[in-house]
Amino acid sequence: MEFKIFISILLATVLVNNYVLSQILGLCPFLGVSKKTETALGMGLSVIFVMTIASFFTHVVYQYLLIPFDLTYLRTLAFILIIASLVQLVEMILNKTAPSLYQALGIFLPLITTNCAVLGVAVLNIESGFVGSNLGLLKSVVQGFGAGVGFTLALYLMAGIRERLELADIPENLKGLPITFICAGLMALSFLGFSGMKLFK
Amino acid sequence: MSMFAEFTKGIWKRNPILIIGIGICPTLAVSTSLSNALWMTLAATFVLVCSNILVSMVKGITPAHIRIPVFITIIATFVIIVELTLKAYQPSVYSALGIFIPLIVVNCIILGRAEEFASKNGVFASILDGLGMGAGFGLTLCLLAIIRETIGANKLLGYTLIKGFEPVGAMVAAPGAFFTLGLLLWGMNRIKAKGN
Amino acid sequence: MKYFIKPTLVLALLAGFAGFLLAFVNSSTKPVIAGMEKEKGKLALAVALPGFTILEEKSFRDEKGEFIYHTAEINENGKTVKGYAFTAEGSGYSGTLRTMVGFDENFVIRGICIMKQSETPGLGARCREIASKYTFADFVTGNAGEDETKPWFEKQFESLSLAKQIKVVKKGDWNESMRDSLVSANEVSAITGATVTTNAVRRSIEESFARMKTNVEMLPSETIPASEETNSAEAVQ
Repeated sequence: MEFKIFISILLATVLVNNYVLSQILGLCPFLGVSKKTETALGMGLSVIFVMTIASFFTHVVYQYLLIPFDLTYLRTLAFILIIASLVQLVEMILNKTAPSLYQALGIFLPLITTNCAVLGVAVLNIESGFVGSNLGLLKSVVQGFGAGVGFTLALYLMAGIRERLELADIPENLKGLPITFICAGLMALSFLGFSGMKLFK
Repeated sequence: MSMFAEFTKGIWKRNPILIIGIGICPTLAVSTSLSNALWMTLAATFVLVCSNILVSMVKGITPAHIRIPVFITIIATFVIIVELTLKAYQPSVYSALGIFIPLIVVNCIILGRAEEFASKNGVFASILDGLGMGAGFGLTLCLLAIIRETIGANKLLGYTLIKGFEPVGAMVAAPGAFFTLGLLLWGMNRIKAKGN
Repeated sequence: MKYFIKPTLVLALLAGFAGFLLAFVNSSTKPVIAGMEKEKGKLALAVALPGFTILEEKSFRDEKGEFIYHTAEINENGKTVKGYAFTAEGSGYSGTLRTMVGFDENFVIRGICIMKQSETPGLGARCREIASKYTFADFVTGNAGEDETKPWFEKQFESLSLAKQIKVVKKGDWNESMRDSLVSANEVSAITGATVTTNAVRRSIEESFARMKTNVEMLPSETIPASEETNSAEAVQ
């Protein structure tokens, strides 16, 4: 079994093509939830869950429903509805099992639906040619999982930095979004160092 | 609010990107070139206006608890129309904008305006709101694109600017996006502070 | 009950309207999109084999699947020279790379055309970048004349030999002055910062050519055998 391909997919989505810092997807929660490390982690885990399961269902629906019936042009509609339903499910689960986290995430939990990264990874799975390829479904799921991990990594790093920034002496006009963006830019610059990295051929 | 004000609020006072802080995802990714920025503005404004119209038309019969799926379905429909039209008649634009065309459906601006405005106001006002927000979005997008394309690729609309100038590649990649927007927001804050 | 009936009706109505609208748009754009794919293929052939008359589209099957190629010919210096074109597919840095390669009976590349790529913008995607001879100011003032239409990365493959190994070197972005030295050594200069993409293109070309060489007999016009040959090889007249 070709394990190499899965390792390179994981490495690609977490580091080389990090969804937030390289592909600039999933910014809304990145800016909104990254104020404290605990909420960042909770959000990250929810996103990993949604992305992995969404990758599975969107791949299956695309391969076994949209292609055979020649409805591939409905891809965007089908995918977003799948994601919206999954997020509803996650909301209900979290409400029952971890109500404090549910409260802490607040409005940002239903906003996972509009997270560009979630729809992004679903579409990218198709564009990467995983549908119809050997072990394609597994590749999609691994890519979804990796994208979530990369997102969580970026989110967690940002939260750690912002917690420190609270105590720093920042000029008035830079406080809030401007300094956050500049920090994100520096992080993105460092992640740019991963580009060109290809482990296996 | 007067009809004219409905339109202009989206451009400056309630600029979706710089003031409200929504729709940032596509902004940063698509502002790599002025051409991309202009086409994205066109596509997003089309979807915004059309969905505002339809949402405003059905606001009477849509039960409140299913309004989000209804909005999403409406928006996705128009996004698919844009996707297919671009793919058929502007294939180079279609491949340049890539996954950001289907990502218009999760553009916070469109869903946000449907929820905040179109579902509570008449069709004509919704059209103006959509056009204004689209214009504000577009102007910010183009401003970012002009900065990034000139410094990052030494080009404007695909034409080389200065012969022999090595552009700063990082400007058209992610870092440049973050830095430029960060500095722009800082500039906005200074302008707002001066106004007070 | 009412809690469910009204929403279901509204959603059904909406879905019906959306479905109808989308089916309409899809049916009107589908033929345009399909037609464009064919046009793209024809244009790529013209770039890969400039000046050649395309004769036939042929194919063969081997263990890797179906392989489609085109035969062509051109009249050069009074002689009829044969040409072939194939589509090389390989995985680039991100996604598939599809390149149309045209070469003549002496296995010299006449041209390549990268048809599909999804490489990193600013790096690998520069394989499709065109080095314009003019600047923005020239266009505004009307000084611009006929400009370059071929990406410089593709241009450097012209005149390279497929019979020998093509090497990738790092001499900076290619420009016309580098042509002679690189061609004599059968080398291509990698895109700055995008060696992976450059190697991927080169590899896909070499692999597809190897497949074609084993399955198709490609002889220059003068040495056509008098009689026909065996099972797997296909004689090209």
